[in-house]
Amino acid sequence: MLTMWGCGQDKGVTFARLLERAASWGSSLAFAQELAQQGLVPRHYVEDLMATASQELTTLATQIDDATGVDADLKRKASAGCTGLAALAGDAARMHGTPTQSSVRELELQLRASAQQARAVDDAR
Amino acid sequence: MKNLTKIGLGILTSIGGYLEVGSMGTAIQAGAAFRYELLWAIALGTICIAFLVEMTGRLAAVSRHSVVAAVRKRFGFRFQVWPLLSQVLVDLLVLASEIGGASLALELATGYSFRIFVLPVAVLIWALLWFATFGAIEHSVAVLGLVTLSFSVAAWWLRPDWTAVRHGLVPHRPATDAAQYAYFAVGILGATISPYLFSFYSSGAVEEEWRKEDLMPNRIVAALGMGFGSLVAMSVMVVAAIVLAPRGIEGEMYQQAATMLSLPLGHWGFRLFWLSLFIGCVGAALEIALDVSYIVGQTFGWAWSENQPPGEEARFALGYTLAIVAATAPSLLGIDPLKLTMFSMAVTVVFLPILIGPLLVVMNDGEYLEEYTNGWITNIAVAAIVGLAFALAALAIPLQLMAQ
Repeated sequence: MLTMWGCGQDKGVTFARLLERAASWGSSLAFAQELAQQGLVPRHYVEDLMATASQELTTLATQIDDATGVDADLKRKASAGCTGLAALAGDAARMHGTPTQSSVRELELQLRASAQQARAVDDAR
Repeated sequence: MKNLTKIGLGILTSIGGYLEVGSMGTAIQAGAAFRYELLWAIALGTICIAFLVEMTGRLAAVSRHSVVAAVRKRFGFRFQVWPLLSQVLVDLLVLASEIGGASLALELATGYSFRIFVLPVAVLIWALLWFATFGAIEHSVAVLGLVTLSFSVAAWWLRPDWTAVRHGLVPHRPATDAAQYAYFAVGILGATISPYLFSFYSSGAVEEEWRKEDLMPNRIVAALGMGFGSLVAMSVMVVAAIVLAPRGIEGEMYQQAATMLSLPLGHWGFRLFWLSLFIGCVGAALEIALDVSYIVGQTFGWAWSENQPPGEEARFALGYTLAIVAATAPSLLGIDPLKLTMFSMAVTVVFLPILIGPLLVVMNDGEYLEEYTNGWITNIAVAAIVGLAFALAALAIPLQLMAQ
């Protein structure tokens, strides 16, 4: 039964998981900023999170670029979203600041929409 | 009072099973991805580990043998070498994760990279083992480990949907991402049914010189200790399900999950998170490093006891010293503790039959257990759960690797 479940997990789903992981970093950044504004988490934690997110998102962007068997347009859009998020987090970590929450949210939603699209294409096959 | 102090051994053992970097990490990720749907895996692992811990405590109380000493005596040195190698490998992998986890907790606390804390953490663990007695380690970790109950307070405060919680306690097929679901189930079982838990517990019971009069306290300690760990692990999953899942935060690294107590516990939430992680990891590291010395000493028939000064049992002290040195390397190389732990838990599940099979034979041997041998319920329960974990691992791990 597990093998049957697993066989259904093909390139579309694997690609969607990459995008969901990238979007998850966006959500983490937004949530941490929200908590920092209320004084519930220390400033150094938010900076550490930004630096880690930037590194992880850069790795994910490379994996998105290397993905095969997915729509080229979808891949380009997703890669741009992930790279954009990595740049926002990286800049914020370097400047000891925080990115605009709306920019983070916009890229996160873009990545989630692309993930949904990848899953939908996969379901249609 | 004497029986009350025995609970310390149960709590210390359960910290190594439930509150260390791997168990907390998998509970967070599983809760963030599948909400309450994998609570059953914690419950199943708890039943199995409570049976195993009770069995090995009984073995120590009746025969005055630890698990490894009894298996070596029953099957011979040549046989025992294979379980020893398997367990040392698993112990070193998990010890490496714990040292990394404690260092990561300090990164969260200070903002400095976890790599700079790896050596100080390793030295702290080594110094505690070198200078402290078994009792001092046992009681201090058991008391400090109570800080992890902050997850249970947070879960209660967040008012979970109890119907969904009850539903999650029953195994069922997930709506999506079945391979990931099975992989998390294996991870939870692997983190909970860790072989070092029961070899450590039986060695601890021999150190504390348990007797037949301790059989009933042993049952209570096994149930309370593992119940404590299970409660906290389930609370971690529930908090992740309520705080992280709706926000789409997967918690694949601890940096993402460190905010999970901030909503329910306010300013204290973040501090309690890293403090729980630090205490859990240091407690587990002490347990695992000691376990390496115990199992090596018991296999080779050397003198072994944490209560003796290192100068009197040099080989025992050398065992944990070398284990700590070897386990420090992955974190110094910058390998993420949580990524390492997912691998080590999968390896644990694969080795479980090799480690538990001989124990089941010993537990049914009247020469060791007299009239206290296992009943059929215990034998069937343990064999079935280990078989299930192994089958899940054999199928889910390749599927998950393919998916990545």
